[in-house]
Amino acid sequence: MRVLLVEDDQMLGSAVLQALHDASYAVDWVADGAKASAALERHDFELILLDLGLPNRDGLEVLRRLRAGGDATPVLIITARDTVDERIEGLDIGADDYLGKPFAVGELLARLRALMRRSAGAATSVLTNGVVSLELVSKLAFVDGVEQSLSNREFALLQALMLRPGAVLSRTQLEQTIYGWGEEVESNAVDVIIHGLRRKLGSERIRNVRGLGWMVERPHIPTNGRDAR
Amino acid sequence: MNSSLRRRLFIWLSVAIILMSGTMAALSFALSWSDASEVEDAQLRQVLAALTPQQRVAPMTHLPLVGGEDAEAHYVVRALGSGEVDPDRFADVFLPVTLPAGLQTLESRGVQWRVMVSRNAGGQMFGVAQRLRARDEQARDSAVYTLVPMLVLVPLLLLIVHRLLRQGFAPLATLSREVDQVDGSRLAELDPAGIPLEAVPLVHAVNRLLERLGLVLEQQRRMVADAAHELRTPVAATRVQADNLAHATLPPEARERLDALQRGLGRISELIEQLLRLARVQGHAMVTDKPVALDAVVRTAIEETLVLAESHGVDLGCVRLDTAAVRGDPAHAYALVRNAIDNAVRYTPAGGAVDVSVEVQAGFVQVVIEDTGPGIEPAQRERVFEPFFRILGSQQTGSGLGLAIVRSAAKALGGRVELGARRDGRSGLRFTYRQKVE
Repeated sequence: MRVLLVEDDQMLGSAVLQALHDASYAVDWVADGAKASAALERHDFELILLDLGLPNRDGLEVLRRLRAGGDATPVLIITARDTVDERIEGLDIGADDYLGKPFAVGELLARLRALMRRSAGAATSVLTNGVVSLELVSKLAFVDGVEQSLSNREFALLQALMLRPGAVLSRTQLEQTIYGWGEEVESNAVDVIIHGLRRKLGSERIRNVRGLGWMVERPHIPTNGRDAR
Repeated sequence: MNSSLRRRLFIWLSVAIILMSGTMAALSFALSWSDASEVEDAQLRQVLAALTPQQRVAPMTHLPLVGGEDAEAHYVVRALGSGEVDPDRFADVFLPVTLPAGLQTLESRGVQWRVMVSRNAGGQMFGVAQRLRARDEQARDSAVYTLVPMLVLVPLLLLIVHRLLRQGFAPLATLSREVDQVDGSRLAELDPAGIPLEAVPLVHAVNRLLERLGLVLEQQRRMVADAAHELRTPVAATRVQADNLAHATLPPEARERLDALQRGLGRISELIEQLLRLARVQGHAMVTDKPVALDAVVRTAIEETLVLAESHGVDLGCVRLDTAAVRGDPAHAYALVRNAIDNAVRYTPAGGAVDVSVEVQAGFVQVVIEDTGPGIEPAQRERVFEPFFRILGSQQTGSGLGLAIVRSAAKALGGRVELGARRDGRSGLRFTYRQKVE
């Protein structure tokens, strides 16, 4: 796995280089924009880590040239500029993800893995938060590797929760996922389905947030997490 | 001791008006007095001229009365040296033969008379007399009449001066109220419209001062933002280095120390982020003004704080969530709600609860956050909004900027923040944010 790291700060660059080496990535490191463009013309990379404030050529300009040349290599922007507008500009030009400084290595690696999966075309046929996984085709749930079959309504409700782990969905929002238009809503349907899901998955897998609704935990990003590649 | 310009002007103007009108009154009184005397002397001459030859002829022992209804004002016609007819010393007069011809004043038995002496066809001397007191009274009456308009008009003039002064100084009072409303987050220029010409230079000077002050504040804010921003990259590098070290094989003791180091770096990162957020909510650049769904903001903020709440053993939840739209910058609304909830969770001991509610009532949205922590003493409720202020004895590891961000964001949004005690008598803080609905 070959990664291009574009970062002008010596200290941060060498630290990230070390972290990526530790995670078994092959890394080329350049410290200015012009050199980055040159490296991208000569070699193929599977991933690009791009700082924005660069000497000689701004990071956004490097990205613009890359995309103008038809290159679709995934780009993760790492930058100290992180207001919403700046993020939107970066994403509009064609960045795939955005990480603000300072960050934990675990989060950087998790985002890199997500980018690799997306670009590999292993599109999300499985939803997971690291504890519970849901196969969208077979409609099976897995908890710690143990398979659980789900009813249609259980699947619909769990899918709604798993689409955005960490987001709290209200009773009304969940009712809309399990009932079609014009169907009569039973008053305790959501409670019944959640009760059933908790029996199958474990009660702590679906959390109730007082007054707001229910959620599944967002994926835990270990601060020191590494994956050997 | 500052004296009021308005009062001073009023006092001096009043003194001037009263002095002037007093002098005018005295002068016109004196003038009309002497005028009246002359008129009456002329009348005396006319009366004498109008006497029939019969009346001028001796012995004139009788007393023909000439004059109006007022007996005091009657004229007495007498031959010189002839005896008195009426014993009343006010009604009749004895004219001695020694009187020369012409006008003169004569005292007779304690009464003053004005006498005109002449000679009749028979060569006999006679006089026409009028009591001086009657004359004086007439003269005084006519002189007093000249004073009446002045007595009425002077108080009216004083009243008008008072009103004019008050009206003239009203724009200055308005101006000072406007200046009072200027604060660090809102250095709005004063509007010179409607200000008297004389005060306009002052308004412009104040505006220039505000402008310089704004520049200094903006420089300071930018300094903080730039410093925090510049710190991001080296702190990021240090964090990555520490994370890298954690990957190496370490003896347990070293790993423990590394954990402490990483926690410290985490705190530094958090502090830098909060500094940047504070600088951002205090700044005037890039502020958007659009509808913000405050209930959705509260929902997101609770979602984002759940992990912290769980690690603190605090039950974070919502007791009421009305749909509530306000106007402002969504980033400010989020910074406000997020930091307020974060603060409540941090200061609530394990096993406690934080209740959030969003309520719309009478055109206002009210976000209430109640915790079961120790609360804040009333004397400290204002100070906790200052950056880096911490209540002594609290063991919290927050940045010390949360509530400063909350207040700046509230100001930017145009709402009000209030801290109080819980309403149900339990220990805990009640945080309230109020803003007009859109």
